[in-house]
Amino acid sequence: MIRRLLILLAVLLVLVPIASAAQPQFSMSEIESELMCPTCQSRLDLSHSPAADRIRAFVEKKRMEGWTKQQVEDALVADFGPSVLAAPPASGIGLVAWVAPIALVAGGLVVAVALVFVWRRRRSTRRTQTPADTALEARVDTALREFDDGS
Amino acid sequence: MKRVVALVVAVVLLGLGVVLARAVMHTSGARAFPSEVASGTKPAAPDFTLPLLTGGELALASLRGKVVVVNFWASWCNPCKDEAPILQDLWVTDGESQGVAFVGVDTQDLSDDARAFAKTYGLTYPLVHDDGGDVARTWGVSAFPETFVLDAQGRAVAWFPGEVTAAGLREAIAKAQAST
Repeated sequence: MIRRLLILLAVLLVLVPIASAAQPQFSMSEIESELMCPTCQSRLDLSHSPAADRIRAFVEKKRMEGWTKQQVEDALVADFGPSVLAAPPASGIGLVAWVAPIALVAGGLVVAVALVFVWRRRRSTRRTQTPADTALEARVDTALREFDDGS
Repeated sequence: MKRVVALVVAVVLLGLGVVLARAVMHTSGARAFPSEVASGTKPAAPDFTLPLLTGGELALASLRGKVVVVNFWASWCNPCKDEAPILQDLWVTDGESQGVAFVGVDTQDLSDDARAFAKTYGLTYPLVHDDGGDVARTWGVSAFPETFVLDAQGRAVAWFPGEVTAAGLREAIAKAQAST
């Protein structure tokens, strides 16, 4: 009895890893939204071109063989280049795509803050000039009055 | 403060300018090569070194001194399926034996599919895999198949957008052989 149980255990120990390895590690919809169709420049899940269909078939085959999403993406990048990924890699030239929008927004904020600062400074300068302008106005009024009285 | 603002604005504008210039060059610049070939100016073909589907590498420059037929294809492309037997027949009759080199450039394709395609159609001329499609872009290839014929100096004398015919390709090979 114990011998039979041990044999069963051994069989299970061999089969369980094999069965779990062949289980799909990700869903088709998940990976399709992360891939690009190389011929139509749209996302794979939105494309029905012949190239997209071939990629879909390849992904499905490898998925059923138990490949991880990373393995499938690596294989596709080897054949199609990094442009097959919807999101560029956050390294090398792909890093530009991640950094550029942040840099643009940060640059825009710096410009906006600087413009507000300059505008407020000008406004306060104008305010400080107001008393001087009022005094000048008063002097002009007085001079005009004296001129009128004199004539 | 004004200087800082001006500097930031300049940097942002410069960045946008570079992105725009790259986009314009990417879309319009590459198509210039086929247009030059069609206009008869015999432009020098852009060089490439690509992995062969059977292993190893092939450099286009290594074929200098021979007339070269460069065919861009993909296994999923239906006209390529019709064209493959024409190219294979010409390779046997007018290529290998006559000192004319043929190179098939598999682009935007799974390399396993490409190997299966080569086996199905019995293609025996060298086939390379254009990883990432950079070579096709440099050559201005926008659809498949497209074929270029180069003279012995590596200048492109003929361009076939779409499927070739045996007669048309023979004529282009003769033109390349006569080119000095």
